Amino acid sequence: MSHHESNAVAAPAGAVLEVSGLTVGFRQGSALRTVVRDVSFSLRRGELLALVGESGSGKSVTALAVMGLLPEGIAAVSGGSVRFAGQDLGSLSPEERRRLRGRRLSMIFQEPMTALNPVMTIGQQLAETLLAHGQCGRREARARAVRLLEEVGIPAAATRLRDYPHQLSGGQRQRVMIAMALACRPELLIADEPTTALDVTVQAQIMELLNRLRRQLGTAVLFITHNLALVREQADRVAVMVSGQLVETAPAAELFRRPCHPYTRLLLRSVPSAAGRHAALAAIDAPRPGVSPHPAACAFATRCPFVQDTCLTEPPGDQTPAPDHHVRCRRPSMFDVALAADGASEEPPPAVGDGPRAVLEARGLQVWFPRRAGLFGRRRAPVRAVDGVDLTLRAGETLALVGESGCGKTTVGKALVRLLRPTGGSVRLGDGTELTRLDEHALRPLRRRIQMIFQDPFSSLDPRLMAGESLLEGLDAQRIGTPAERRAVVEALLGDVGLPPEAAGRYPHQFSGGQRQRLGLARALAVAPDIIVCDECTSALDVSVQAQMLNLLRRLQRRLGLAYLFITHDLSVVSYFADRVAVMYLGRIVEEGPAAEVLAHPAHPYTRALLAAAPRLDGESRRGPVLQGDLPSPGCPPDGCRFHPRCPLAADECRLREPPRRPLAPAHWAACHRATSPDAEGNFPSRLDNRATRD
Amino acid sequence: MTLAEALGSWTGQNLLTLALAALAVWGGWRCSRREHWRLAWRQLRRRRAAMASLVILSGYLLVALLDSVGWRSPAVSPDTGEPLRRPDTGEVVLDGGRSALDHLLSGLRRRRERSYSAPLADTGLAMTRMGEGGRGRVAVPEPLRFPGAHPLGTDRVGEDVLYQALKSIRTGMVIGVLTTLLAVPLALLLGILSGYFGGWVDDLLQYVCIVLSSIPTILFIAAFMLVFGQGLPQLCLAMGIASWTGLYRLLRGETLRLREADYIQAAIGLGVPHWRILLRHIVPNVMHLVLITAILRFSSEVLAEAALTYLGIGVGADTYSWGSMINDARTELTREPLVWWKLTAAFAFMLGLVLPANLLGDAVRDALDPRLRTE
Repeated sequence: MSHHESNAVAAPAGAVLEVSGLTVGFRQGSALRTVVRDVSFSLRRGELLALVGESGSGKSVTALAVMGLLPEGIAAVSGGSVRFAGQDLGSLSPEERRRLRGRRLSMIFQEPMTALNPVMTIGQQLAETLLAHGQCGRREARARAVRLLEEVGIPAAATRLRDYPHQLSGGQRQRVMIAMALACRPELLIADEPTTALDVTVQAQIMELLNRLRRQLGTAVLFITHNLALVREQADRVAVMVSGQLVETAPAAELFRRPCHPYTRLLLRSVPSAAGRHAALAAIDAPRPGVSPHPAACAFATRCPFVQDTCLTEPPGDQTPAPDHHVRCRRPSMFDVALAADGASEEPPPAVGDGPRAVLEARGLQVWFPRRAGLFGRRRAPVRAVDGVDLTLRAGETLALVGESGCGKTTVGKALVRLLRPTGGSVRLGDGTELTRLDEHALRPLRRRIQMIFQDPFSSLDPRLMAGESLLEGLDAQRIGTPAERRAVVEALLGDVGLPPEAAGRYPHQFSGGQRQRLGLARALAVAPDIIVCDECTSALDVSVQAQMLNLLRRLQRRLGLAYLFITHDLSVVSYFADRVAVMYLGRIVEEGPAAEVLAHPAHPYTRALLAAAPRLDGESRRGPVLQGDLPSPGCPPDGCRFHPRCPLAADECRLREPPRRPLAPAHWAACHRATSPDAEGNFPSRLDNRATRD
Repeated sequence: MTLAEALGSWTGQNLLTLALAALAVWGGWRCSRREHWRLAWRQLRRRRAAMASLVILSGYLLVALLDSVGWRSPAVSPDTGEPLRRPDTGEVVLDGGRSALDHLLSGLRRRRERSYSAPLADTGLAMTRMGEGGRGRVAVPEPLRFPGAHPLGTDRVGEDVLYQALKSIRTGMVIGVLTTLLAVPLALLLGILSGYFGGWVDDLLQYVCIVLSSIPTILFIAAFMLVFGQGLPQLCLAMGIASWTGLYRLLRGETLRLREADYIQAAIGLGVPHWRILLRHIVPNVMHLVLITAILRFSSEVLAEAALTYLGIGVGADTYSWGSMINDARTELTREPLVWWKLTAAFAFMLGLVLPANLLGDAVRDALDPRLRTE
């Protein structure tokens, strides 16, 4: 099957896992479509190999093939071998493979919400795993389950055994998943995007846990992810996949220092960062139409900016620029060719300060959700999702709102767009119109001024409406233009977001995730808003697609003078994209200031913890202590400073009194008793965690 | 003329039939223009069982339609065969009117016997004293007027059973279709209002729904018939009112889920009026549930009618229906020799309608369920 004997990964002695020439096909009618082609890698004891690639590149299919969990009758291994601890897994019977799974190799999945059975307690589920593999008797299972939970850092483990999955937070559920996967001390753990659905702080906790287990138990980890910064921090080695082929394998440090394959290089340059603030991000093109390469040719050939004729007709060669660094590319000179100069470096935006006019001002914004138990239930204390938020948004600027999930940032967005009715405070447009007191009818014409785009590309468009109909919706509702004018507007909008006019007649399922996100943006733009609330609008996208979206947002902002409220948890996007940043914790804003300054000199301990938890692509480690615990319930927020139960600096004052806003620098403030002003050079004291000052 | 009379007259019935047919054609045409319905149709066409069911159901539908349109024709004197005329004015007298199906089946209808006869028999079940033979009077089977002309035999009053079973098709279909047409729009309207607006609207509707579903259905229908009289329209109305709650709950839940979908939120954010959101986004996105439920509900209504008529609270005795056929079989099954053909005919005709409807319902669910989509 393999067109050349792959010596890319010479099997090192004592490899736990050895995959060579793995090829997996999906049945499509009577034909077999190859989705993973000739993939070879190996994994040593205690090693963490990151498998990186965009969605649809075959990462998960590779993992499922290793586990022997490919959906039967739909997908099948059509070539190559998987050797686990020297044993060819392909030669085992399904029953023998089943006994291996969970005991010697196990897997954790991305979605902790659905991977646990909601009607069984976590104790039962843990014990089931232990009993199924004959690890111990029924009596001992409970004690073992407690130990496992303690091991993965769940507090009060013995009492948590009786909890059902819904009683745990997302991070805790993922820990339980890991505990189950580790119950039998496997030699190999396959982790498929285990932290993608989690906050950075929780992600940091989980990674710390994985590393500890790796050290203590010598478990080898195959870590599937698309988060390059995380890879840089955590991985020993990295394997990059495109369209079912492995194109580059190297030790992590080497790969980030000297990426060789054109795809890897473009991918790294599509990650937003503070350094590249004023340049457009590299975008990776969609496959060029009308090109049909030889089946054995490089999978990236139809998208590669450096493609040569031979790339399309012959298999990619193997190159070894350094020991243990393997690249599959036909162009040896590739390693020295600099990528085309940064895509048309754009003018830095005008300095944002008090200059431009405010287009939106929220003061003391409050969204409380009443809680009612049953028909005649007594009223309980409301959930204070948003509890006194002040925000000012100026024309043409981007204000990022960051925080953990559950902190109320999406609720702020929805309240500003009036998808939720604020229970208190005021929201004024630039011309002074007060929005909170308007009824639905009076609000309708004003709605066009402030629009929202959403996170999930699959639910942001009505599956039953053609794209053109979705775009017309706002124009119809706001009675803008004649029917002919509206059609012209739709065509122009499609052009603006980089889609052909024919796209108007297509249904959402015929678009990719990135295209749907751009359609969502076009729908908002149709009514010519001043402000767009972007709710995690790039979080669900691949890095290269996110780059396209960010470039598009920025281009439109420059042209139309849009103000963005950019709700996100991704600090690298903030550093690249935002002018100002507001950090939110449990319904309040705790720090606000110019993005560059806040990210460089965070003053609030929470901001510092967020920054410390976020992995960074530039390799600059600023690891502080990982923030422990979970966000408290907004139903009964802590007294005093809301952050004090998790704050490493908390003093008595913090428990008693709510901290006032402390101005730190022009337009930069933090609500913390212990935040300090910068010294004469403008630097903040580097050691805020000086516990000597505690009384 | 009251509404009931209007609907009872042939003109009213023809118009109603025409309206329903037009509605069906219009709905089909609307759906055929939508990509996802076309996709579902392509999926459905690949299933042989579904297509066979569709053919059988179309046969039933055709019979029911033929039985629903009719006209009055000149009455004929039974003695002379001459058209009757009014003695004073000389005007032609019209009869009570017959459906197109009656005209087609006039042969079956007219061939009446005196009493029971087995399928395709030459002689009746009853005995006649015959002749003065050598050994005195003997009882011999009475010869039929139309020997071998009754494929499913005749009943106590000598009426052809096949004719009754065919006439019952309309009753079954009318019950199935009208009840569904009453219950489904009611459930759709109330379900999406309840789910979309929430608040007191939801509380009120949920309350009504809970109260209604705690009354035993049979008791409710019996009480309804007692007040408004027994008849096909009353039965449809009573069953319609009694059966919307299940679909209502389903649609309310689905609407609650859809309401939070980003595209609905975006529409609210664009200032689209609520009624337009309901019509453009919610209704099309719950339509697959409505269709699946309607088809499955149809068959359960047909069965329910039979059960209710058997209990004596269904359609009146003057209406042909499978239920009353089964009711008659109660006494027939105790006779010697056994009269089995009426029950068998009713059973076979009901099965022939309900089984394809269920098969089609399953196939439609598979074709519309996005999780099972293979394309």
